[in-house]
Amino acid sequence: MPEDIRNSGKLIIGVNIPYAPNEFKDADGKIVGFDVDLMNAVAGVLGLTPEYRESDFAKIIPSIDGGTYNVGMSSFTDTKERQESVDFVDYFTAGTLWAQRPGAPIDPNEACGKKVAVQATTVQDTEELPAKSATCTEAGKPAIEIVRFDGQDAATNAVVLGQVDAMSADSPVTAYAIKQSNGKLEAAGEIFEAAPYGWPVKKGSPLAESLLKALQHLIETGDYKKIAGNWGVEAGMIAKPVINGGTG
Amino acid sequence: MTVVGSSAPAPSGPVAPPPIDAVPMRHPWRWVSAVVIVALVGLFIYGAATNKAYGWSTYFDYLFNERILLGVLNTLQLTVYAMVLGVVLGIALSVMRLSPNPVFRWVAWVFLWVFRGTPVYVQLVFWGLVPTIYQNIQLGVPFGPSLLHINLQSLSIPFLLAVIGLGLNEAAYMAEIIRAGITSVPEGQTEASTALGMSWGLTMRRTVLPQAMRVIIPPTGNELISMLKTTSLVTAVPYSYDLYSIASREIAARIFEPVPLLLVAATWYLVVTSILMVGQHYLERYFSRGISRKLTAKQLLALAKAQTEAGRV
Repeated sequence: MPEDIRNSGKLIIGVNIPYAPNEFKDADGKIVGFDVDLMNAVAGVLGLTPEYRESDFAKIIPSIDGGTYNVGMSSFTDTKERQESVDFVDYFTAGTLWAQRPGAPIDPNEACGKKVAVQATTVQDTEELPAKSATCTEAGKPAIEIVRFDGQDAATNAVVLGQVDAMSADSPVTAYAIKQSNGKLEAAGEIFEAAPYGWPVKKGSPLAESLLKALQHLIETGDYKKIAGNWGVEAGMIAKPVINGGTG
Repeated sequence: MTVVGSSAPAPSGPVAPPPIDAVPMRHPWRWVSAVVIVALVGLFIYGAATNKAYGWSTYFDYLFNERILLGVLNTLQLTVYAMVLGVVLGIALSVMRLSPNPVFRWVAWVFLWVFRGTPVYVQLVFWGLVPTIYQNIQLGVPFGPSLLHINLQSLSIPFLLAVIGLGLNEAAYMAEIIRAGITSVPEGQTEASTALGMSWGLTMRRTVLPQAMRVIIPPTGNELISMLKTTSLVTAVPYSYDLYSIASREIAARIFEPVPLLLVAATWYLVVTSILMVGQHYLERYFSRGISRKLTAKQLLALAKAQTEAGRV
C-alpha cells in the first residue's frame, strides 16, 4: 500500500451519484448502494477509513491522475481506452441492458431511426450507441437519435413518458429502474456486451494490488456474495478479481 | 346628482363651474380578452391537475421534505455569501475602473473581460478542479522560506469553491452596475458640493452615493434574484446540497420521478424570489425619494390637510 495512504489512514474515494442501485443517496442524504457497501468492506479489510467525495463523473479519472482521489468508485466500465490513464481493479461484471415501455417493443439490434435515452458520458453514450448508429447509417438506414440526459432518472422518466423509445444503461441500473417503475418499464432484449466494472487507481500505484487482495479476501469469506445479494445484483458477481481485465 | 346654483348666479363670491357629468370610457375588448385568458388558464390548470406525468401526490409528499428544506437553506446561504462577495469585490473593481491609475484600470478591465466573457458553468467546473490543478498553496517569500502551507487536495471544500466561483463572476457584473451608478450622477453635483466646502469623502457619502443608489439598486435586485437561480449550477463544482441538486440529483434519482421534484424545486425558488421582490420594492422606494414630480398618497394627504386648514382661516 502507498505510504501516504497508510499514514493518513484514509482512503479518499471519488464518486458520482446518482447511479442507483450502485451509488445513490438515501432519504437522509447518505451515499449508499452496492458499490458503497463493497468499498466500505474493502477499506475495512485494509484498515482504512473510507472518505467519499462527490464528483462529476467525467472529472473522477483526471482527479485520480492528479492525486486528489486515491480511487474512483462509480460503476466504471474497465475499457482499454480508460486504461491509458488509470489502472483498474475489476470487481464486478455488468452488461448493457435496454428498457422499453410495455406494449412498445424495441429491438436493441434494430433501433435505427429510434430515439434512445442515455445518461451522458456513460459507456452506452460514448461507445455502444455511436457504434450501433454507425452500423445503421452504413446500411443506408436512419441513424439512432441519442438523447443525452444529465441523470439516469431523467433518462428513465423519458421512456416512461414516451419522450423516447428506449433507454440504454448498465444492466444493474436498468434492472433497478425497471423495478422502481412499478410496471411502467420492462427489459428490451437480453444483457449484452458484458464488461468488467473496475475501481480506477493511479497508473502504476501499488494501491491496485492492495485493493485486489482485500477483494479476494472478501470473496473468500463470502461477504462479497452477501453484499451483492443485498442489492439484488448477484448476476454480475465475479469469481476472481483481476487488474485491467477490460478488453473492450 | 342634482345641481343647484349653477344656473342662477350666486349672490356673492366666485361662481362654481358646472360639474361635468363624466361617464367612464367603455372597454369591451378588455372584458373579452380577460374571459379568453381566464378560460385558457382554467383549461391549463385542469389539464395539469389530471395529467399523471406531473405526479402531484409525490409533489405534496416532498414539498416540505426535510432534505428539500435543507436545500432551500443552503441555496439561500450560497446566494447571500456569493452576492456579498460580488458586491464588495464589485465596489473595489468599479473604483479601480474609475481610478486615474492605469495599472488599476487595466487589472480591473482584464478581470471583467475574463469573468464576464466565459460562461459561469465553465468557471464553476474550473473552480471544482482547482484542488487538482493547484495541489498546494504556499505563502511565503518566493524561492525563500514558506510561512504557510495549505494542502488543497486534502480539503473537501465544495461549498467554499461554489461561493468563490459565483462571487467572482458576480463581481464583474456588479462592478459595471456600480460604475454606471456613480457616473450617472451629474458632475455639477460634485462641483456644487465642492463649492460648499465638502471634502471628497463627504461629497461621495452625502451627494454622489445617495443619488447613485437610485440607479444601482434596481439592477442589483435583479442580480440577486438571478444569483438565487444561478446557484442551481453549483452541481458543476460539484456542490450537491443546494435545492436543485437535492431535488433532482438526490431524491428524483432515487425514486425515479423527476417531474414532481422539479416542480417542488421551482415552487421554492418562486417563494424566495417573491420575498426578495418585496424587499426590493421598499428599497427602491426609499432611494427614489424626491425624484418623481408625482406626489405620493401620503404627500397628497398632507397637502389636502394643509389646504383645508388654510381655507378655514
